[in-house]
Amino acid sequence: MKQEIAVNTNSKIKSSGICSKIIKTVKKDWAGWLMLAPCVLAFLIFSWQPIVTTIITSFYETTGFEVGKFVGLDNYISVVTDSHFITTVVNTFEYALWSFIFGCIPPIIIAVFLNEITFMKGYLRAAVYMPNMIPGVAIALMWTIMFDPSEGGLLNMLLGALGFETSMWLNDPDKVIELIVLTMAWRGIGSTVIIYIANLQGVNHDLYEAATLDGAGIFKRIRHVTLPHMSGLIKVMMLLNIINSFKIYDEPISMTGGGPSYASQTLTMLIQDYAFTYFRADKAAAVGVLLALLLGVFSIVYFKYNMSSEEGE
Amino acid sequence: MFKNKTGLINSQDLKTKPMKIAYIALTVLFLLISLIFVLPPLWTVLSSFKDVKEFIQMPPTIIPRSFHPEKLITVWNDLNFSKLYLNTLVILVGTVVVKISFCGLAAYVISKMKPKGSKVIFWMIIATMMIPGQVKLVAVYKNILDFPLLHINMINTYWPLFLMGGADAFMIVVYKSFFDGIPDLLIEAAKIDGVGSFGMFSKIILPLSKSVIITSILLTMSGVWGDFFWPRMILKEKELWNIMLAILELKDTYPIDIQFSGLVFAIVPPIILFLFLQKHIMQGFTMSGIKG
Repeated sequence: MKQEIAVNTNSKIKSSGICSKIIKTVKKDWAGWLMLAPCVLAFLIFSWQPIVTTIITSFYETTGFEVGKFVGLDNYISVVTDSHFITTVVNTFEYALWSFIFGCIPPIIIAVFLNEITFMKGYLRAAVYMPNMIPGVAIALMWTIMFDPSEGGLLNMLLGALGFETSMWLNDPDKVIELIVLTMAWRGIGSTVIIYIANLQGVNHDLYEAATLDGAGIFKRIRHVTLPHMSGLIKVMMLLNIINSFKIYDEPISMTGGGPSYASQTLTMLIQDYAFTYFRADKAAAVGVLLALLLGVFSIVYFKYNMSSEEGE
Repeated sequence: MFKNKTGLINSQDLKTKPMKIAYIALTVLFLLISLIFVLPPLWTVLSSFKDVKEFIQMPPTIIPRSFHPEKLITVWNDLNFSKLYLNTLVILVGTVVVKISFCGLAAYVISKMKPKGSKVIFWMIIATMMIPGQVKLVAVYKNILDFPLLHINMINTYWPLFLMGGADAFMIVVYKSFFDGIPDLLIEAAKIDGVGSFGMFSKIILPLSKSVIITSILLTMSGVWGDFFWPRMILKEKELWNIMLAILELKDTYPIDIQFSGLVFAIVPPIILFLFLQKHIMQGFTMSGIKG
């Protein structure tokens, strides 16, 4: 807290010129700024100030939630050398990889073909989208019940009936991340499909006709007409998918709590552990800054693609 | 049958018999795929009617044999779901009001009034989308424990949940992209007629914005319904809990048949909402999804 005040007064003295400038601009459009004020205040309290405080805290030692003395990079060093951190980072990348496999390619295939189906069109689109409406925690609990590792579990029973070996499902450290991502994909695929289908409505059907007359088969048409049309959106969706996979939290916390033995722990869960299990706000802040930096790299790439694809349209 | 089909697979393709069969097979395949999405929730709902005996029976039944809808009523009363629904509704209404009045208003200013400096605010808002909520966890929690300026402890109140709804960058993008589509001429004309800055929003813009308001309410609904992270941090008293907190507790403390009934209460309302408002939800989603 003390540091904050010090920083504030320091910058106030320095920026008194800027302050009067700000007051001038606000006075000129006072009605507009008055209407902006509630939102700006909400962002100050729940977003901007906390982000700045987190960055500052990561360089200080804390006792409880109170900021103590400056320790430089000590928090970062102790966090990075913690063996859980490495496991967690590896896990986070594993989540990203599986999200990419389950969440990026199937929606494209489903959207391209689903767009061609005319029979029960409304039902099919609604059915694919429907899981999106169910809250993540309820879906996590539903799948956890189905993934019951005992012989009486629903999926184990189905496997048994089909003559396969039963599985440990979520208790198997080698499979747990794939399964969590799979249930997330089950829920999320529909929304991506619907976005792609909306995008496909913009394909000029004359192009297909021309390609057909030129003797191009269906797969050739997909390659030369459909995919080029979708490519901008595909890039955007893929990067969004990667960014979101770094934020995964709800599903693992409600399905496994990070287990078995940290096999499904994510960076976001590690932050919470540091903050509210070990009460080390400083280390939580350091992990947070590292995660934000990691995401920042992907976000920059995302915006670059987003801009160029919008220019393309 | 397929005479007027255009698009990727067109009537030209469907003239030959093998192609016709392949196309029908594709349709059947998609009907089967749709079952993957429909069956698990359906199985959950059906299973909640089973009695305890059938639950522990080996092997378990996939299609329930016993049918006990009265069990749902018992669970509803035992876990006090009326209270949970009411709490969730209160959180929803408060969040919706804050979102429309904070984010809607801000997006309007950024999109149409464009005072000097609002662009900077907009980019600062967009930048927050990239940072996961957990990063600033402790700092936000501190602000809730000791609210800036007012110095009030907001733990065990709904206020932080409402106000946090006001700091929603995604919602601002949704509103802004809608307001960007309203022609400036309309606003100029109203200005000439002597409509002031505040009247403009309430009398001219809001009546035009029904569709985006409905979209934002639907988005907020599914958000609030599934939210458990901040409620768990803030609502320590069971009296104040929302649906998801109760569902999360079910998992660890209640027998499986009660877990199922609880799940049904969490799953069915959004599905019913979806069945009635399907078109609106899907359209709203694509609108916000592409731009966001």
